[in-house]
This record gives sequence, C-alpha cells and structure tokens, in this order.
Amino acid sequence: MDVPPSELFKITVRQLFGSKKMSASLFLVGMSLFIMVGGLFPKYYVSSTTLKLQGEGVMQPLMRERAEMAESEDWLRDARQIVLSEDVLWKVINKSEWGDADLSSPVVISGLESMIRTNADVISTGDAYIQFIYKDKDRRRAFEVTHNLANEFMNYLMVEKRKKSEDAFDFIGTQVDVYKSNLVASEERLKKFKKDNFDGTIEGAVTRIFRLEQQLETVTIDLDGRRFKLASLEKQAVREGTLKKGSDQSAAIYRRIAQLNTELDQMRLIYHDNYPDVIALQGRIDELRRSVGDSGEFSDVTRGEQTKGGQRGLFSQLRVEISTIKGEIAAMNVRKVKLQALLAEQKEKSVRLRGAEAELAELTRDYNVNKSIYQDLLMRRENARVTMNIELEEKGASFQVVKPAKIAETTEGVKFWMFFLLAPLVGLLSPILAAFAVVSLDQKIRYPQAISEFVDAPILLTIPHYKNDSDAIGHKRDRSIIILVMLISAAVYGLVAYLKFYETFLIWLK
Amino acid sequence: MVKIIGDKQNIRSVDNFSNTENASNAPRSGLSNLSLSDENIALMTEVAEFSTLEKDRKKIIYPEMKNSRLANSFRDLRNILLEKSLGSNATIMVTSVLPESGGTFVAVNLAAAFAFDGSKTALLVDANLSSPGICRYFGTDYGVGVTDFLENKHMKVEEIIYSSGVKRLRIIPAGKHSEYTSEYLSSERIGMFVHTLKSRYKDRYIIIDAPPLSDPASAKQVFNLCDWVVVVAPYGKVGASEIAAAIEGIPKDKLAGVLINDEPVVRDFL
Repeated sequence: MDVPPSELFKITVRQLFGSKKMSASLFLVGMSLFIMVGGLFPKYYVSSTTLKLQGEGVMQPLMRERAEMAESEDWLRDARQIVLSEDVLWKVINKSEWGDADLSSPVVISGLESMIRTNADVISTGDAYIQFIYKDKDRRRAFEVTHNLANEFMNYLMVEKRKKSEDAFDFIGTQVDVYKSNLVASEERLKKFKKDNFDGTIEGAVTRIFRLEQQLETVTIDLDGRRFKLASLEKQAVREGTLKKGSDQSAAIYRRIAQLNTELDQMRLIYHDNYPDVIALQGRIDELRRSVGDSGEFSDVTRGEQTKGGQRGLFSQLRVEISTIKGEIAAMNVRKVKLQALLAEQKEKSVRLRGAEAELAELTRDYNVNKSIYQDLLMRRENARVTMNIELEEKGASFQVVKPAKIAETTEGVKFWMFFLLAPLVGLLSPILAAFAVVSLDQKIRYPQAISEFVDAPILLTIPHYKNDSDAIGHKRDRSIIILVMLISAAVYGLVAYLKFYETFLIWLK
Repeated sequence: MVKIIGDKQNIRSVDNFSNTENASNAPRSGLSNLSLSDENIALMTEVAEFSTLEKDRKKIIYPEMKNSRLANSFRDLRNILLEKSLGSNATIMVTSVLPESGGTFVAVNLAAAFAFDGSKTALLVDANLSSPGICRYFGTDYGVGVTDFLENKHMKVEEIIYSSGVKRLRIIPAGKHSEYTSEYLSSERIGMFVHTLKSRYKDRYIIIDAPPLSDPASAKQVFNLCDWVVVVAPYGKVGASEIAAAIEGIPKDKLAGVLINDEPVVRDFL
C-alpha cells in the first residue's frame, strides 16, 4: 500500500512514542551493542614501505636500440602478482615471527598466506613509486612482514630478470645455430647444383637451335634441287638407253665368251682337251654362244662397238652425272638426318636448362633468406648478450627503498573512542529505524486511505486514543521510569568516558 | 463516582419524565410513556448524571471535554450517520473486526454523541450477549436485559431500559442469560423487540453493540435488525485483507463504513 511520506513520518512517530518503553529499550540496547562492537572491533597496526623504480631512466634510452629490456613496464600490476605469489609469501612467512604457529604445517602456511593476501596491499604513490602496506594486530609483525614483502619482491625481480635475460640469450643462441646449419646446407646445395649444371646457358642453346634450323633448311632446299636434277637426268638417260639396250646384252655375253676362251687357251697349254675342267669350260662357252644364237657373232660385236662409239659417250656421261648426283643426294640425306638429330638434342637441352634455371632461383632465394635471418639473429644475440651483462651487473631497472618500513606507534582505522562517541546517536537511531521498519513492513492498517483500494466499503474516519487521567498517570509513571533509566545510563556512559579517555584527553590538551 | 441505583422495583416501574429539579430523587431508569414529543425528550428525567470526572474515567465523551478532537470524531461519525438516515431515526449496529477492537467503546461514545443533541436521545443495546461490555461503562449491577426479554414473553420493553448516567442516553444490558446467544439473536421476538424500540420515539437512535465479525454466526443475525452497520478496525492490529474478509457478509446497502479506532496521539505519550 502506498503511504505518502508525510503520513509515513507521522505513523513512524506514533509508533515510536506509542511504544515508548520499547523505544527506550531499543535505544539502550543499540547504544550498548555499538559500544561493545567498538570494544571488540579488531585493531590493526599498519606498516608501509615505499620503493622507487630507478635505473630505467638512465639505462633505457641508451640501450633501447640495442638491449632487450626483459622486464614488463607495468610494475604495479606485476608487483601485486609477485608479492601475492606463493613463493614470495612462503619466504616472507619464514622470515617473519609468528609466535607459536607451526610453520611446518601446510594448513598453517596456507592460513598465513590467506591472511597476508587479505591484509597486504600494493599501491602506486607516483609514476615510479610503489608502496607496500601490511596491517596486523601485532605491531612488530606488521613491520616485519612489510619489510620482508619489499625485500622478497626485489629479490624475486632480480632473480627473475637475470633468468629471463639468460633464457632469452640461450634461446637466441639456439636459433643462431639452427639458422647457421640451414645456411650452410643451402650454400652446399647451390654449389652442387651449379657444378651439375655446367652445359651452357639457355641463350646459347637458343642460338644453336636457330643455327641448326637454318642449316637444316639449306640442306632440305639443296636436296630438293638435286632430286629434281636427278629425275631430269634419269629421264634423258632412259631415252638414250633404249637404243642400245639389246647390243649391250650381247656384248656382255661375248665379252664373257672371250674371257672364257682366254681361260680355255691357257688351260689347253697345261692340260689335254679331255681334261674335265677343259671340257667343262668348253661346255660353258658353247652354252653362252647358244644363248646369243650365233657362234660367229663375236667378231660383229666388237665391230658394232666401234661403229656406235658416239652414242655410247653421251649415255656414259649421263650415267656419270646421275651417279654423281645420287652420291650427292645420299650425302645430303645423311647430313639432314644428322642436323635433325642435333636440333632435337638442342631442344631437349633448352627444356632442361629452363628447369635448372627455376631450381637455381629457388636455391638462391633459400640461401638469401637463411643468410638474412642468420645475420639478424647474430645481431639479436649480441643485443641479448649486452642485456644479460647489464642484468648481471645489476644495472637494469631496479628498485630502491625510499621509505623503509617502521614499527607503527598507534593503530589505524576505526578506533574505540569513535564507537563510543557515536553510540548515543546509534542508540537514538535504533528505535527510529525499528519503528520505521515496523510501519513499512507490517501490513497492519495505520493509514485509513491505504485500505480503500482493498476494502469495498467507505472509510469513515479515524478515532484517536482516549487518554483519561488514569492513562495519564500510567504515562507519567512510564516517563519517570524511562527518564530514570536514561539518567543512570548517561551516568554510566560518563563514568566509562572518564575512566577510558580522561588521561588521553589531558595529553591531547597539552 | 457513578451512582448505581440497584432497586429493581424502581427500575422496572418507571419510565419517568419529570422536572429536572426532581432528577436527583428519581429512579435511574425506566420508561412508561409509549410516545414522546421533542419537548418530552427535553424534559426526560436524567438521574444520577455522571460527573465529567466520572465520564473521563469511564472514557465516555462529553461536549465540553478538553480532547475536542476525540469528541469531534464522534460528532463527525454521528453526522455521517444522520446524513445517511435522511433525518429519521435509525438502528445502527456497531461491530468490530476482532474482539477487543474497541467496538463497545465506539458504540458507547457514538450513543453519547447522539445524546449531545438536546433534541435527540440514544438507546444503547448490548447485543454482544456472550461477552457483554456495556456494563463496564455504566456499572455492573443491572438486572434483566435483552436475553431476559427474549426469554420471557410477558416482559415489556420498558422493563429492560435503564438510565445510563448520561443525559438522553438509555441502555439495555445483555441480560442474565448468556447460554444460547445465537438462538436469541435469531428468534422472531428480537425483530419485534428492535422494531418496538425504533418506533417508540421518533428521535431516538438505537445503537446496537454487536458481537465482533470474527463470530459471524452471532453478528450475522444482527445485520437483519439494523439500518446501518459501522465496522470498527483497531489501529495497527488488522490488515486490509482481514477487514475485507470480515465485511464480506455485510449487506452493501447496510454497510455505513469502516473506521479506524484508537490511533495513538503523540502528545498523549509525552
């Protein structure tokens, strides 16, 4: 139900005064509880130390181009992670005094770690300043833990930086070796290839092909000319040859008969006529004579040859020429075949040379890449070496303690006197808040208009409480009791204030 | 200090009208005449009038009281009911959502507010038969009442009407029989009883202090007897849903409305 704020206020006040004994009780209980909370509120001693990041400003600009600074730039974030890491906390715990705590127990260590994580903080107090803060109920321990946190933080960074630099140097060294072997291998491959591919260049092969093609063309043309000439001579020779073809055959047989007769004569000088070889020879001669049909023609032939001597000379000349040309054609055919073979060989070679050229380009590129990376890595290795040497000599970015941890004299945070001072106010607020809570949360009717939306009936009016004289006496009695209790409470409050704070107050006044 | 007149002979025998000067000697209650004019009302004998101190002690309002806000609240309530009744007398039932909600307090003081007006009288009937409360305001030594009238057919209405100690205010107590309350309220005779009361004086307003609505069997009987029902809800003790549930059985034409009773006054507690 919606109650206007002004009505809510009135209702709250009515509730507050309507149950004034309860309100007074709540006041006392609220005040007492708040004072008790103040008494039991944990008191912490806070110790802090401030570190300044130094060295970076001097070293980094000089070395930026050459040295590889291994550390992160965001010190604050890193510092938190480092300080709260288990390794650092373990060292801090072992170097600090923890009373009777059993540091061999993992549970105890874990509990202490959690406690430090809760109570420690790392904040930035400037561009290059970091502050470590730790609070503890024991002032001595607050100091020790703060001091150890800062020290262990710096030690950790030192070791970590060195390790990182060395790792970086080792890694780059390994890479240098790898690329060196790569470079050597590619160099070897290039050398071997060049050695295996020494048979000229692609340009030479092309020139040679061109020249061979020219020669082949010339030979082909010449060959065609010779063939034409041969055909023409042979036609002429055929024409001449048909006139003397028959006499030519007889003349040959006669020449053979004459030859055999010579042999017969010679044999007859040695052997008788009945000698088998003589008879066989004689038979042969007869046979030849029969083949020409006339045994007495021999003499005619010899005569015919002599008479037709002019014709025979032209024919023979033609024959000589034909023979010469045939010889030339044969020679040219041989040459043509040879040229064709050479041309094919050159073409094949040119294809091979093109493949080799691509391979050469690849090998060269491989070599160049390896060489470039190798040189770059060499440079990086030198840079890493410089960084590592700087770290070893502790000239890299590091921290300097500008404000050492001290043992705190007083506790920090909310103090008992604050609780004590605020207790009456809290006591006053207790019944007010309780009354407000009751009228806000309790659904009982206190504001007539609020029920109109739920109840289907006219809301007539509100009748106030009838206080008569006997009620007034009761109220008066209650009021007196409440005032008495309040006075006693105020006296107790004043007494506690006197006992607890009077001396401090005097010191403060001085 | 209330002065209880305990003589039953006197109580039953009179419904007197006498001059004011005889008031102190007159019996406290009793009516005889069946019809009265406005003049007669003005002359009605008022005996053993409560002093303001007594009224204050009994928590009965009076016109000149200091807590004018309280008196005015009841005046306003009276005016609302007069307006609803269009000038004629009416039977008004005062009931409450829960027991101990102040229903009797409202009934008594509403009757007192009607009696403020010299031209009107009020008759307060205690119909909360199982737990009568009116006697707490006007004394405990009454004799016969509603239940006796319902029980005894020969009994007359005027025999159970008593003077209250407040001017122009008469009361009818619950009576001596409290065992069959529901049966009494559902009897035919009670209808006749209320009708007689209403018709007896035209300027008399009948206020019935009814059982709480948490006892619906008893309360429901009284709805039929009255013209208007006023529901009393105690401040900070009931929720809207409880009120809605309680008034569910009341006929809409008879429901005058709901009022919130006993709102704390900060000044009272200081």
